[in-house]
Amino acid sequence: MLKTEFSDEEIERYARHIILKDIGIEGQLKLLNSKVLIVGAGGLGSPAALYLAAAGVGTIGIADGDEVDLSNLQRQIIHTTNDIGIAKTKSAKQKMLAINPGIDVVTYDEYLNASNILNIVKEYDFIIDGADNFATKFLINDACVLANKAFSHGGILRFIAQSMTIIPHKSACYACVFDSPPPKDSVPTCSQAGVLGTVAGVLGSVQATEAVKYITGNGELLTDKLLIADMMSMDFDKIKFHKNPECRVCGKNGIKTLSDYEQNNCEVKI
Amino acid sequence: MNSIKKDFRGVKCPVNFAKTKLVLAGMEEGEILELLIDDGSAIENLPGSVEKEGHEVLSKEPVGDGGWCIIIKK
Repeated sequence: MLKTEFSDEEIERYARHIILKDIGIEGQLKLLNSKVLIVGAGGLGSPAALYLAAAGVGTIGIADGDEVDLSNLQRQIIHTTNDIGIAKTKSAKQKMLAINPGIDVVTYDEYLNASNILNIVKEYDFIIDGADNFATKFLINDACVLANKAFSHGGILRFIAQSMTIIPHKSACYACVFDSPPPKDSVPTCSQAGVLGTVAGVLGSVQATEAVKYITGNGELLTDKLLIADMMSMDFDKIKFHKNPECRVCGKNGIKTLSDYEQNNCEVKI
Repeated sequence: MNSIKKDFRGVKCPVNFAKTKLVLAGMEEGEILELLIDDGSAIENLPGSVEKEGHEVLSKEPVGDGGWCIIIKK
């Protein structure tokens, strides 16, 4: 049911949004009536899920087939030592509802693939890609292009983070920029692929901010722009891109159906 | 024209302003809101915030039983 007014509890909870000129009453109601899907309850999904729950996004879906592992806890801040061994979606849902019992959290305790992703994505207004592998990142792009859903791409490695926001058929898609997953031998091996925990925190928060801006219709999105943030030098640069009319995914002869991408064995676990 | 009266004394900043914004949002252009608010940060901040939203603060008077009465025209 569409929410049109606030309870006293909600006025107090969201006071700092309500008094913001660019969010205000209308923007907060939009957030409460919105649905965001977060793919991956990991390094990027953790801060995104926490902030969007706190912001009062009315329905948050969270998809992950993994369980919490001790080696996750250096950056996946939604999980705690007590959660080791339980499903990441369950662990994430507990924290999100502890922050904000007024929202609905829908869990998908599974990995997304070409046969299940479209049915899930079509239920949401905005999708956050917090996946840890190129196969899923390209699949999210393809599904969002087919379902015509806006999404935020995010990727992190070592001290560097990148993000862009895609509004299918209006702005450049992930495949307009990168075309297809990199060859196996160009992806860092496990022993090379460290990541600073705070880099995940910054970028997941960037992605949550893009979701809030999209839902409330504010500001300038990272569309047709790739944000590259080097946390060692603290250089934040934006590289401009344009939609590729010949793009194999969103171009004039683009995809009509989904298929899975080959998954590399050892990719960066974010 | 009848004015709308609200007592937001005891409501902390910035929740008092959020509540004021919601009351004003439900009013017609030109309607008057008589608002009771606390001394201190409320009277120091709220009138200015209301003006920044485009409303007119017609008066600010201390009241006998504590706090301030501010008259706002939407």
